[in-house]
Amino acid sequence: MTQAVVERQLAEAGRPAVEVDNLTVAYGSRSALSGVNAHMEKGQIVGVIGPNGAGKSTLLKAIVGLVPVLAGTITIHGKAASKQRHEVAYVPQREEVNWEFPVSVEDVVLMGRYGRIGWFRRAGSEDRRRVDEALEMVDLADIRDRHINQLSGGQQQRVFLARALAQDASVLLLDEPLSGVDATSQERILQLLHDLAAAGRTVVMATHDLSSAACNCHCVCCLNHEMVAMGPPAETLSKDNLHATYGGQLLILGEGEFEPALEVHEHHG
Amino acid sequence: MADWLTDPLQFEFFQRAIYELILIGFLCGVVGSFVVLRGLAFIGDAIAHAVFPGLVIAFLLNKSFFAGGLIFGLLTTLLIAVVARNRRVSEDTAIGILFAGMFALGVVLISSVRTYTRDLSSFLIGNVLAISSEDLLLTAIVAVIVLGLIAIFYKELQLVSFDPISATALGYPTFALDLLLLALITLTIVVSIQAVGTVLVLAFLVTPAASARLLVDRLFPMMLVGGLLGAVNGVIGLYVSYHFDVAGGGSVVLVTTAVFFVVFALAPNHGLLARYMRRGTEMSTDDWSARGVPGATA
Repeated sequence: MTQAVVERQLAEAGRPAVEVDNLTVAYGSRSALSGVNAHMEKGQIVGVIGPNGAGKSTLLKAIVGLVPVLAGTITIHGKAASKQRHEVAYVPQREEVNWEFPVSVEDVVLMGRYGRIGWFRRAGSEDRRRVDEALEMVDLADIRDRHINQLSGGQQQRVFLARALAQDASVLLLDEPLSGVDATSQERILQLLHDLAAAGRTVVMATHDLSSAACNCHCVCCLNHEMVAMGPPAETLSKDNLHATYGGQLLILGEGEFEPALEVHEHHG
Repeated sequence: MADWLTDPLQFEFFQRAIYELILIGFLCGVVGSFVVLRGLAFIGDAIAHAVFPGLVIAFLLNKSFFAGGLIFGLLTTLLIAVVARNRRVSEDTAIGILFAGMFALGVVLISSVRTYTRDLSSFLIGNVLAISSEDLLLTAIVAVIVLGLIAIFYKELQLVSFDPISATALGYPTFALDLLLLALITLTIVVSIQAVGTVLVLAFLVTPAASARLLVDRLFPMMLVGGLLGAVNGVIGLYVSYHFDVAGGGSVVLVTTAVFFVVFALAPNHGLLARYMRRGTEMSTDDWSARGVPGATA
């Protein structure tokens, strides 16, 4: 083991994978997030929940450097996020991807390697091996040559998951990975996320599916421009917290257990 | 038939015209793939027209057309980027303003010269049969530079075109890469204009690449097919113009357009006929959700 690796591991030990400290983000004069604090631990699945427009996507985008940060700091394994770009993989919402672009499944997964390949160089055998592995893990090896528009919603989601795997990032950020995906693919994706967390990676997913967040996440962030509450779902998804997060948008159909008694009313636009 | 092909080749100007059209046909087909995929047709048209004053100034000062055109092309590209940074001026508005403004500057400049009508038309529609050996050499050099830069930055240009969000997330300088792409498009347009003119160059840039998009499903094959179609269309169009004694640039563009419509109708997977034959058999729910039809994903 090299000196650098040892130093990195020492530095990482005991620090949360992702630390968001007093984060404020605004689009023009409209505030999206204000004073958000969040610690996301290594090896956990963290669910970010909240009503539409609460800033779930914005939080993920801020961590990955896609939106200008007005105030606050974000660190990944104890280092500034801007210095750790390769350690963070981002899986965009399916609606944000141009599915007509002429690329195959394999092409997209290989893009996960681009940051590591670097400028002026081509993919090598190690990169090919990583792509093969990632395709196997998401069960898309058979259709690696297909154009991305010929896939089902669940398969499309898995292509981008494979790209994140090929990137070999320790933190994965997923924006609504379960929306528009059939039940079988949902199961598969969740199983994969559990495997990744068990292997020591940190998985952060924004979702509007409260019951799935309650069942699958080690930790949930209730977000509504501010961080309302954060912690294990059993304690965090209390009636009061949910009311504070969703306001009038939430219907609580039953008392006591949160699953599957919750239903969120959202307006998709 | 053999005469039909070999007859015109006895003229050196015809040979030069063929080489020129093969070079710019291929170059435009490759670069045009990015123009088509990024939706840059309007900015391409704007650059083609905005180089006009540069050509006129070069003409008046008896300097290189290429240098004059390139300076104004790059200047316009930069101005569009700067003006469009104001949130109240959308990018297509910025393009429209500079497109017309620059072209008007060219018109005013050339009208100050007495014999402007003839020269104006030669700028607008070009003259492929008047290409000199020096012009041909310049085209070859520019083609090598542009294609070389695309080869060097292929990964990055592909990523920033397909998924600019992830490119930004990975820390790539996306604005610089976009400017690089626009500079390559500008170089391609300027070097093509002398042969085909400011009005018709758009067809070289957009039409073969659009045909290629209907034929193949990956970026590199699309660039290759676009380039080959561009080159072949150029050769066919030039023979047509020779035998029917009509304008070279116009003939090539007509052939290019005709080829597009043949491909549009008959392409194996994405053509009109193929789509018609498939109708009703493949309208599964997956097809809908894969296309992002509103409601299908909710």
